Amino acid sequence: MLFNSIDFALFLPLVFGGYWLLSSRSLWVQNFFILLVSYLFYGWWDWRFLSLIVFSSLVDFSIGKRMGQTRDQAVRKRWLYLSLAINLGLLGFFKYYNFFVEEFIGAFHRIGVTLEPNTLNIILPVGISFYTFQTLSYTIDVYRGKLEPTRDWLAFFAYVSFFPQLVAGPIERSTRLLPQFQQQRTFNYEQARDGMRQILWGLFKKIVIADSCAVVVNDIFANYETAGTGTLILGAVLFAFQIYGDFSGYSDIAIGTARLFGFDLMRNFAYPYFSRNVAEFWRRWHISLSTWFRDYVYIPLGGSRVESRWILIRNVFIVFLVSGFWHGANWTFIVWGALHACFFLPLILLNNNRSYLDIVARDRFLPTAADLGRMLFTFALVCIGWVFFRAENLQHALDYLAQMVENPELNLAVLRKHLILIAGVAIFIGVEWLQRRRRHAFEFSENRVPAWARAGIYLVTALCILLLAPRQETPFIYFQF
Amino acid sequence: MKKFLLKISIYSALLIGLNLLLGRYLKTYESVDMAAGKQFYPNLRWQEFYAESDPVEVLILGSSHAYRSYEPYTLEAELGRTVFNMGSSAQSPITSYYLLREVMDRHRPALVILDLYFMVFTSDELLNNGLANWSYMAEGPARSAFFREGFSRRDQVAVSLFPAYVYRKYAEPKLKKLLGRSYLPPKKGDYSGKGFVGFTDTLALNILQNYNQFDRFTTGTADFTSRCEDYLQKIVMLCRSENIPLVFSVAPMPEISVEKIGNYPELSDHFRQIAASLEVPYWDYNRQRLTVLRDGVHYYDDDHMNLAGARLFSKAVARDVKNEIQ
Repeated sequence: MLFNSIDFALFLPLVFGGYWLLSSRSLWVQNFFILLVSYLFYGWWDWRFLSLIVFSSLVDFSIGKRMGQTRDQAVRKRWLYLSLAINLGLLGFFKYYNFFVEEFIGAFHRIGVTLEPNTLNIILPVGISFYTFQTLSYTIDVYRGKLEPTRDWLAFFAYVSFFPQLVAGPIERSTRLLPQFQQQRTFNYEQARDGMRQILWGLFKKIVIADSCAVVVNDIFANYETAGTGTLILGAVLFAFQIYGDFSGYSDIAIGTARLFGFDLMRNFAYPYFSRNVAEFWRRWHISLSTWFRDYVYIPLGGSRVESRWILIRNVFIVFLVSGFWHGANWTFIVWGALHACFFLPLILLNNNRSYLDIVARDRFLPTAADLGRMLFTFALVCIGWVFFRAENLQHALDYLAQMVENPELNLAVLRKHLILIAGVAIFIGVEWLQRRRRHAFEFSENRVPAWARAGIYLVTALCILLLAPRQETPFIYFQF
Repeated sequence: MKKFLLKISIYSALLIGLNLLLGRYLKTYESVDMAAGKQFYPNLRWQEFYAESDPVEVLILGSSHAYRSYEPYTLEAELGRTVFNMGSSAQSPITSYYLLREVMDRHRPALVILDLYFMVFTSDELLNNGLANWSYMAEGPARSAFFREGFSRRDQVAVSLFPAYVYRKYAEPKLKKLLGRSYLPPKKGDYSGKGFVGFTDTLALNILQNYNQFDRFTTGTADFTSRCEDYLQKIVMLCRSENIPLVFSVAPMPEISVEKIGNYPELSDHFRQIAASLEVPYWDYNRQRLTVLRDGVHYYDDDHMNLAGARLFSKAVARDVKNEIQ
C-alpha cells in the first residue's frame, strides 16, 4: 500500500480509530492490533512475502532469547553469526543472487569461457533491506549487551513489522523502538497534531515536488543524447529534489503516522541540501541508515581511531561501498558509494569531517557568502553522485556526464518551459530554509504563526496535493531498495 | 482526543467542501478547450450525441485510433448510413461496454465497429479513460451501471469524495483561462463533429524513423488484464443479444511503427484467436496493409493517422462494411 494512495487515505483513519477505540486499555491488545494492521498493510502488496517477515521475526526473537540464556561470549557469538547468516542470506538471495550470477558469467565471458546463465525470476520483497537491518540491530545489540532480550514475542513481532516504517524506514534501533512497544501508549494531543502536520508536509514533498520533478527528470535522462549542458544540469538538479522529496517525504509520513499511534521514530533527514561539506551531508541524509552503518560496520572496523591511515581509508571505502551496494544490485550504486567515499576522504584525513555539526546560519537569516559557496559546492558534488544513482547503468551515467561537457549549450528555452516547476522547487527550498532550525517544515511556533494562518497553510497545501498530483500514483523510489 | 478529532473533523469538512466545489468548477470546464489539443472532446461529443435526431446506424468504439481514423462523414457518404464515432482516448473495453449500453438505450445500430488497440488492454484503470466519458453521460441506467460495476471501489471513493483530485488535469487550462492566456489546442487538430478529431499535420519520415515511441516497446499479451478481455466478451454478448453485427477492427499505424513493434504478429494473432473463438470478424489493417496509406504522408504521429489518411482509410473500411451489413 502506497502512502500516496487512496487506499492509504482510507486505511489510516480506520486503523487510527480502531487502535484508540479498541486497544486503549491493554498493551497486549495495542501490540496485537499494530501487528495485525501491519501485516495487512504489507500483505496489500503481496501477502506471500509476509511469511518472510514472520520467519525473520521468529529467527531473531529466538536467537535473542538464546543469547540471553548464556553468558558464554563464544556461544553468544555463534548465535549472532547464525542471525547474520540467515538475515544477510535472505537479503543476498532475494536482492543480489541474479547480480552475482550475471557478473560471474560476464567475467568468464571476458576470458572466452561461455557459461549457461542460471538466473532465477526472483521478486524483490518490498522493504527487505529495511526490516532486515532493523532485526539485525536487535541481535547485535543483544549480543553487545546494550539490550536485554525481550520475552514478549508480540512486542518484538510488532516492532519488526511496524507498518509506518516497514517498507522504507527510518531503520529503527531496537534500543530505541522496542521499549516503546513494551509500554502502553496513551493518546497525546500535541504528538498527534504534530504527526498530522508532518504527514501533510511529507505528502506535499512526495506528490507535489518529487512526482512533478520525476516527469521532467525521466524525460531528460531518457533523451540525454540530444540535450545540452543546461538541460542536463537541470535534469541532475531536479533529480536531487525528486529523490529528496520522495524519500524524505516518505520518512515524514512514516514518522507522522507513527506519532498518531503514540510512537516516536528517529529523524531521517535534516535539511541535507544545506550542508557545507559531504560529511555534514551524510549527517543529514538518510540518518537512520548512515548511523546504522557507522555503529554496526564502521566502528567495529575501528572507525577513525585507527593507527594507520590506510586502515582509515579502507574503513571509509568499505562503509560507502557497502552503503552503495545496499541500495541495489547495480554497479551504478557501487560507483555512487565510491564517489561519496572519495568526496568524504579528504575531509576525514584533514580532520574536517566534524566541522559543521550545527545547522547553517543558526542565528542569521541568510548564510554568509562563504557558507553559501560551500553549500553550492557540496550540492554540486552530490548532484554528480545522483547522476550515477539515477542512471540505468554505468555507461548511461558516464555518457550523461560526458554530454554535459561536450555539448555546452545553455538552452534557456528548456528552463523557460519548466519555469513553473523551477519556481515551485525554489519556493520549496525557501520554506525549508525558513524552517531549517525545526524538525520539519510544518513545525510552527504557535506564538509566531497565528491559528488562522496555520489553518490557511494546511488547507492550501492539501489542495495543492490534490490538484498537482501526477496522473498516476508513483511508487516511492526507496521501495525498490 | 476529543479536541484532536474535532479539529480533524473541521479540517476534513473544510477540505472536502473546498474539494467538492473545486471539482464541480473543474468538471464544467468546456472540453472544446481541453488541454493540449491531443485529447478528444468528450463534453462536446456527448452533447452532440444526445442532440442527434437521426438514428445512429454505424457505431465506432475504441481508443484514439478510433476517433482519429474512422471519419464519419466519409463513411456516411460511402455507406449512405448515419455514423457516430464514440472513440475516446485510451478507451478500454470496460468503458466501451458501457458506452455501447448508453448508445443502445437510445439507438439500435446496424453495425458496431470496435477498434482494438493493444495498449488499452493493459490496464483496468478508469480514472482517465472511463471518467472522461462517465462525467458527461446523461443520468440513466448505463451511467449508473458504469459507475457501480465498472469503477473499482477505490475509484468510486475518489470520484465521490475527491473530485478536485480526479479532475485535476483541467486545473492548468482553467488557470490559463482565468489569467486570460491562450489555452486553445496548440495543434491544428480540431473537432470535426460526430466524435471525430482530425489533424492535418504530417509527421516527417525521419522523425518517424528516429524518434519513435515504439523503439522501446515491450508490451506483450501477458500484460493484458483478464478484466479487459472479459469485457470484450461482454461486448460481444451484448451485441449478440440484440442481433447487432459486431466487427473487431484495427486501424492502421505507420508501417515503420508496426515494424518497430517486434511482437506485432503475436499481439495481432492473440486478437485473431479471441475473435475466432467469439465468432466475430477481425480486420487488422496493419497486417493487410492498404497501399494508399503512406508513411510520411498520411500519419500525424508515430501512432495515429492524419485527416487525409483517415479519409482514405474510411473509404477502405466502408467497402468492407458494405459486405458486412448487407
